[in-house]
Amino acid sequence: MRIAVGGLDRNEMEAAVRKAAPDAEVIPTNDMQGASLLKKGKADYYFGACNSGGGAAISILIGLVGYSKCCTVCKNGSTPSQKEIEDFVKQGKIVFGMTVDSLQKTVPMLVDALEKYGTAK
Amino acid sequence: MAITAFNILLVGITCALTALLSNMGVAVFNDGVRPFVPEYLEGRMPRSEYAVAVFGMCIGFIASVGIANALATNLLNPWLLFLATDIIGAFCPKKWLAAAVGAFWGILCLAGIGGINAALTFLPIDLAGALGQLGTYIVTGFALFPVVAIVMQFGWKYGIVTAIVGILFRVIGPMWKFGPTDASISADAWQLLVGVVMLVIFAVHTDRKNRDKNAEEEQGNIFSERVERIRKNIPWLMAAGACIAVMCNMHIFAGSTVSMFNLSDAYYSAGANSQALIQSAAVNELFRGISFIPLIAVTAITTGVYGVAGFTFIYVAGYLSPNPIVAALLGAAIIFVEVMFLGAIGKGLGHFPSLRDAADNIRSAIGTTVEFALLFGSLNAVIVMGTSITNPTLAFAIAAAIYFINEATGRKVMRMAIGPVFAIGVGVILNILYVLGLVTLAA
Repeated sequence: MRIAVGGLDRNEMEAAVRKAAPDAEVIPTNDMQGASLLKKGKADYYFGACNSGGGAAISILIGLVGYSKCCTVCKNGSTPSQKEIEDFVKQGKIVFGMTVDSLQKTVPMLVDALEKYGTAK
Repeated sequence: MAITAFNILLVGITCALTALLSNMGVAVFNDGVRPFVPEYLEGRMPRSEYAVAVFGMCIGFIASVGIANALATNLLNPWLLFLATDIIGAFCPKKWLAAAVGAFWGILCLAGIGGINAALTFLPIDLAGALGQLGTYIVTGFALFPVVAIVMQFGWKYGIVTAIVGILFRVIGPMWKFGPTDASISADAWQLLVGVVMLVIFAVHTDRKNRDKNAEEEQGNIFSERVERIRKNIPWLMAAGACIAVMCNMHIFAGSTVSMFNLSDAYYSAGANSQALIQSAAVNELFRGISFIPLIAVTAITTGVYGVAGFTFIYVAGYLSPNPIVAALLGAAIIFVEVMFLGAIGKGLGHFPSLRDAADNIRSAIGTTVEFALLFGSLNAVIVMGTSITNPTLAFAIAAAIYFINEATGRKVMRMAIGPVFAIGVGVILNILYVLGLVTLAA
């Protein structure tokens, strides 16, 4: 799995992803470069964080990669749900937004779901 | 807040306008909503689904930071007003309905927040006064963000260099006086300026070194028609910009957490110090605005939908303008310039990806430093109230309980908002305990 990470608190995100997926290749980048990596096939997934989960995290990617491939796995004010995340992964989403506040909980769940149901392993 | 006929009209017109902008898909405030607008306008998403999505994206912020901060500062803010008008514009099928409901919401907030704040001053345990403490550390905390951002992006060695240069300019900078009144730029502003300049220099330097890797030219012409769409809507955008700047100028509106607490102090309590407070609020708002440029610019270019307040520089114009007319003119002019430069900004970001990173790191750093400062300012407020009943530990216990319940239930209230929320919570609970006779005021 090659996971591009960007958005707010990116260093924290990178560390969380490396911890949850020690075998994956983690590419620290930003949303614009991340979109480019995804389109060129140089990354399989993108994780981004912001304050709302759906704003700065993935806004630019929705525009550049397409709305159908993006989702918010944890919104502001809610807790991540394993079932919901797995549904998103099964739908073929490759861009995942979350809140910085829920980062630590969401990343392991997301990595788990991708390892089980993701298109790139 | 002064609930005058002028202010009622002003807020009514502004919110009617912003609701209209959302309804027409010309501009929205929520950066997360912006990419959805073309999906709806171009028919790929039905209005019902769109409206529900917008509601879901906005409601959390309105309820937490919007209301709590408005109550704490006695000032209206963009989350309370414009996130709501984003929703109103999405739900209302007709333009006139959107405008009417928008105006109603704005006036309701003005009367409601102003009214609640007036009522708060009658409480036995002085909640309103204690809330003045919230902003105590924000200016100082905020001044640290460039160093934090540089450490995030380039490591601690660059951070130390920046800190040293920053301190140097802090001392030397204010010695430079200019203009007929011998004005000078404050030490905090110098430190911020130097920090951000160094961040930009490091970023551009990094990109220059990696020049071959960035040789791609991404967006090209796909987005030029989106930029054209925004340009067509300039008159609407300028009108909104003018109105919002006037709201800032009339002292009934503040743009963000980096300015609102200090503005509230300046308007309601500071007296002699108020000009300095307004200026530092304006400076902070300016730097925060800079950090939002890439996000707002790129989402605008890729969607053809702009931001209701543009890059948020209109707030700065509003705070500093000598009168509402100047504020209105500047507000409109600033939006005009921003829109005209959108295309160029997009291209520039393509050539310098480290600037995109820098903007995100600035936002992260501002978030971290201001959250920290706000948490301690809120604790100050709690202790002030606790001391007034000679039981500060009780006040602390209530605040801690609220904080930990929030953490344990998965942080329903975000870190940025939990400070004002528990400060208000402690105020309410202590007053209830007082009415029940369980606590008494110190003599």
